[in-house]
Amino acid sequence: MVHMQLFIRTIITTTMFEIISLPFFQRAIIVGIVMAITAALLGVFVVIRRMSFFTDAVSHASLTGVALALLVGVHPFIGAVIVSILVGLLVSRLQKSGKQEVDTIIGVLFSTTLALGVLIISLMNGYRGNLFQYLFGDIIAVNSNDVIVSIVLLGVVLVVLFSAFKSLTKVAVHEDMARVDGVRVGLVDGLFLVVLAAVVAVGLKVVGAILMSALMILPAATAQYLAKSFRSMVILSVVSAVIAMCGGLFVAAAFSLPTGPTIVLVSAGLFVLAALGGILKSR
Amino acid sequence: MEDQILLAEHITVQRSGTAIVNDVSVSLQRGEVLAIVGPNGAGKTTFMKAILGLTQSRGKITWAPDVTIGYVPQKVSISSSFPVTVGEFFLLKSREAFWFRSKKSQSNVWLARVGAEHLVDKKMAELSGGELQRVLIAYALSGDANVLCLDEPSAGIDIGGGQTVYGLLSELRKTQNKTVILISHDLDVVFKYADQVLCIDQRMICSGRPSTVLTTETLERMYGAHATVYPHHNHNHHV
Repeated sequence: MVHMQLFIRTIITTTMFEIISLPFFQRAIIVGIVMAITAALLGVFVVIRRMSFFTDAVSHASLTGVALALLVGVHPFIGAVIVSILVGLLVSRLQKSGKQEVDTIIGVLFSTTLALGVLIISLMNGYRGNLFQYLFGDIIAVNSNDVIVSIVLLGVVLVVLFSAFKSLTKVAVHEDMARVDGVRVGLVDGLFLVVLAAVVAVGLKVVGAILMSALMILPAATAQYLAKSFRSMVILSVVSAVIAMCGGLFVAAAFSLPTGPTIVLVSAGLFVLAALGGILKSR
Repeated sequence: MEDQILLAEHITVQRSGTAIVNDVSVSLQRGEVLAIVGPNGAGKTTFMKAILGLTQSRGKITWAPDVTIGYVPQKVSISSSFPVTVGEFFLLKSREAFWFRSKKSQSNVWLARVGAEHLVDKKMAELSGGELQRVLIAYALSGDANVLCLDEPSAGIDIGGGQTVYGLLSELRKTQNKTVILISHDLDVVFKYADQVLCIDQRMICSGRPSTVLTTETLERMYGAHATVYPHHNHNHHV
């Protein structure tokens, strides 16, 4: 029994060392950890502001952005950011008009933009093979340039989020109270949308358009079950996201599984464990 | 006037072409308590939001240059999924770092003033109606506000809680010369605590000292033919 345990441990350790020594895996783990921290921090605000469905719309819309960018010959990242922001603004505008419920507006937009993105990419010669990658991500495929661009962008996003941390939290508590305290709510909302679109665009490489919102929402939702304060929610969310990212990458590499879905499923596993812990604690 | 802290002239708020508030004016001196009264849907909250700049309006609003406002809205609903604690809530307004709260935090001082220092580590979502109202008033005061705007501060809390809130406001006014603007349905409160009352039902019905302007006639104009004032021996009044 002891020998068997030692054998399994040796195989796992050897496999992990082999995986870590691979340059493409090192690039993936660097981008993945930075992405996990940023998405988790952003996800906390998405969850406390009850914007999970909105985030779905923005991330699904990014696929149309990628498709249009490929069509006109610009970098897919630019297309993803622009279309994500436009769809976010459109949701806000239609919501303010008050003629439809916000979940109906989002339901219409996120399915339409996803369908449009898939259709355009399918019709383009030479890109059809990349469709699965855009939908579900492939972090193993990131190159050195992607690493630099991702770190710089996500670093800027982190600085913006920490600078606006108190304002974002005030707006989440009560918009009018925040306004009286001098917070420019429109500016904060606009900034939040731009940051969200940028993280979604970078996240396309990691988990793809379909699973991007899960990368933000799952860690925050996991942290909610365990957090005794907002500070602990933020910290637990980041820790849970990093564990899910690293765990998902190792499992995917070890068993030759697609990375995006594996990362999300590991994150979902942590969510289930936290939910069970939360239920047991409340009894 | 030197002691004037607010002058709101001919305030009109329109939505979809309909006037929610129509040509309402009021002037307020430093240290005064102004009560805004009127039936449901009269535009009381909208008027308060207009003078706070929270909603678009026509007319002229002039605050004293040194004004600092604390605002407690009618309803603050914090979801149980948002685990912000009372101590963290106060840090949002202070200059102290959010991530490293010291035990000597200023929030304790403000909470102690409303008798709520024991709530500092409690989650906002788990507070009772009365506890939340105390915390919100302490928060409104915490930026050294000289004007407090309270939208129905006793709504949703029991009688004891309501009396505590109004007792607190009365004390703040006496000891710290705070100016208070409050919306209330309770005319007992208006007679007991307010120096000035503004009666509105979309348009201005009356404005002045409660004992002078809250007559049976003005109450009938606001609330209908069956409304009147019954003076009590202890000077309280009921509609």
